[in-house]
Amino acid sequence: MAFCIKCGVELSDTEKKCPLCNTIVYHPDIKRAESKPPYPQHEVFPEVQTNKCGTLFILTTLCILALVVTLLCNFSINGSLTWSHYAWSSIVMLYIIVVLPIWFSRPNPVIFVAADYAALALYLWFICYLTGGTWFLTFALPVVGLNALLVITMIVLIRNLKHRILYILGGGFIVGGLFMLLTEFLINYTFEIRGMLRLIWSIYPFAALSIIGIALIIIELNPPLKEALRKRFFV
Amino acid sequence: MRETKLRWMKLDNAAKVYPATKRRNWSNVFRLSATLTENVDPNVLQNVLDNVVKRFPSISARIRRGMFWYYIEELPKAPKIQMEACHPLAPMPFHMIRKCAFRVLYYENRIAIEVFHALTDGNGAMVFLKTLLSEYLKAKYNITVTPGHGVLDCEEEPREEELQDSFLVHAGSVKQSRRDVSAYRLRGTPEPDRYITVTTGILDVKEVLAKAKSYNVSVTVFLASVLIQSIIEIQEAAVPDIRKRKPVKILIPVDLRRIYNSETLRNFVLYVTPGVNPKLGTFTLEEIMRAVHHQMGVEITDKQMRTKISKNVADELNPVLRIAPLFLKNIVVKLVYNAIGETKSCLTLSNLGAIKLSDEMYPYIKRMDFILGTQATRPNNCGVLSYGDKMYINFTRNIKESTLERIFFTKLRSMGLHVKVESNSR
Repeated sequence: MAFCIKCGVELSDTEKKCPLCNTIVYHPDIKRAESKPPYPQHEVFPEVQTNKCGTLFILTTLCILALVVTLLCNFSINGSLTWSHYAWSSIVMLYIIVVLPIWFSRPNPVIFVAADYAALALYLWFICYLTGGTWFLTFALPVVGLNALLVITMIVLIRNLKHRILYILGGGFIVGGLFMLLTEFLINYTFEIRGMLRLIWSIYPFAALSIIGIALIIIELNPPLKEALRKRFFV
Repeated sequence: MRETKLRWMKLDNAAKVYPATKRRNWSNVFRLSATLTENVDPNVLQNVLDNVVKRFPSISARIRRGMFWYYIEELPKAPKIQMEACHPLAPMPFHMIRKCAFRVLYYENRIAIEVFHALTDGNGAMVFLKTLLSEYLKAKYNITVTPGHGVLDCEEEPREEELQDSFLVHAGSVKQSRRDVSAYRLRGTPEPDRYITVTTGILDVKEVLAKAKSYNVSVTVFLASVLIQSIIEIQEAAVPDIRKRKPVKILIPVDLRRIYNSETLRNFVLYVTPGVNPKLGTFTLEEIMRAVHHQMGVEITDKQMRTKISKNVADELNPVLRIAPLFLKNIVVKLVYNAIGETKSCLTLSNLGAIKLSDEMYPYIKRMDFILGTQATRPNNCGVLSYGDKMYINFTRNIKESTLERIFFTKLRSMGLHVKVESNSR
């Protein structure tokens, strides 16, 4: 018969330490009887995973159905595939963005965001090709590529430096503002609208985004201000 | 001749909330067990279970989805008994409940049943366990067991009174609002693998009765009051500002069978939530006992309970709710339950009282236990029963900290009660 020296309760023979205060049971003169534990201890019931097969099946079937109906309609009406190229490529892109991550149990956002941007770039190239445009290489590709770079960098930084989120968002806003300037520059260059360096509309989002970005960085630099704002704006 | 067609029945009034509030890794399950003098013979147990389940069509059942409500369907045959492999009250996700909403387990010399609460309450399940034990002992030791004290005769057909939803029978016209203040929420570090720790305190019934009598209160009031005082202590440490402290209340289930003379084996239980408000100052144990005793005295009367039943039944019979499809009902019930269901009390203290068996069974059964599963968002619960000359107080928790159990049992110890503790803590 053993007692916990802290709690004063008697301990069952199965207890190596007091279950209430974790004090180890030890008495130099008493050899304790070995007993089986009251409940099997080591196996833990496996976590229940939701079965996504049904959802995936329904979404995939719907996409395939939409694809087939579009192709059939186009072919039966026009005798060849004309407008359906826009529809099927949109459906494929939608599938990649919405359904593809569901296939994986723990989708890595970095990989899937990169895949989404790659799909978007391909989609835009296809539209450019179908319409006989020349804007893909000089406008769509750099805009999509740099956008992807900015978003993925933000995701990686936010995932790894959670406590510095205001610095990251502030930096993101400033770079986003610069990105606006670049976008107008590329539009001017590709579509020969006006002089390449004559920037008109992008100045406004650049200014707004830069102010927000600088404000966020200042808030992060000033803990009392951050605390005061947190108090006023919590939801 | 027994009916070959499987019986089905609507969920009783109290049960309707349980399937709707289930989560992926949580559902409302409780457990009853009996420890025998010898190791369990699984073959005999399986054979007698096949016979016993036919006597309990509302317990040996599964929960199915209808268009508007869930319903209970009798099982065509008994489920396979299982050897216990992990901690008690392992999750019972809905894909299991859909096939069979209870399990029969054995481990060494112990037989346990774990039941999804929508089928029955603790007292209904106790009748099932006692009958299973009597049939097991009859088959294993070739003894005769006289039915009575909750042991049913398996040769009889199930009676209509046993399958009745007594809530509907005893509802009146005057309703009582469910509005109540929120209680203090116990917190801790969740076990990462959702391990359930059971800590059992074994006490001498006579000692506890004498102690409760010395305060002129019942055993349930005595235990609830010590538990409330323990939680007050925890809150004092966690919330130093007295103005921010919240009421400490315990949810105590009330068996309505005794009040309304019902024989149902379905759920027929309601709750009272006695407690004190620590904002008002420091409470002595005697003051807490007085408060709990009088609050329970006022609440637990047939008339007061009827007003609560009436409210629940009126909600169930609401025409708008009835014609809403099941998935909509689930959303509404789950939202309401998440918002207020568990917030009105700190934990549940369920006392099944002194367990009586047929006289022939006593020599073969040395111990019984009642273990409540934890709630979805509250980490502790407590089930109590006494068998023979011992009282078994089973605390369950899904957090690492054993603070509540430690303070509670240490308090009992300091009152001079002998406490023996065992646990499956890691």
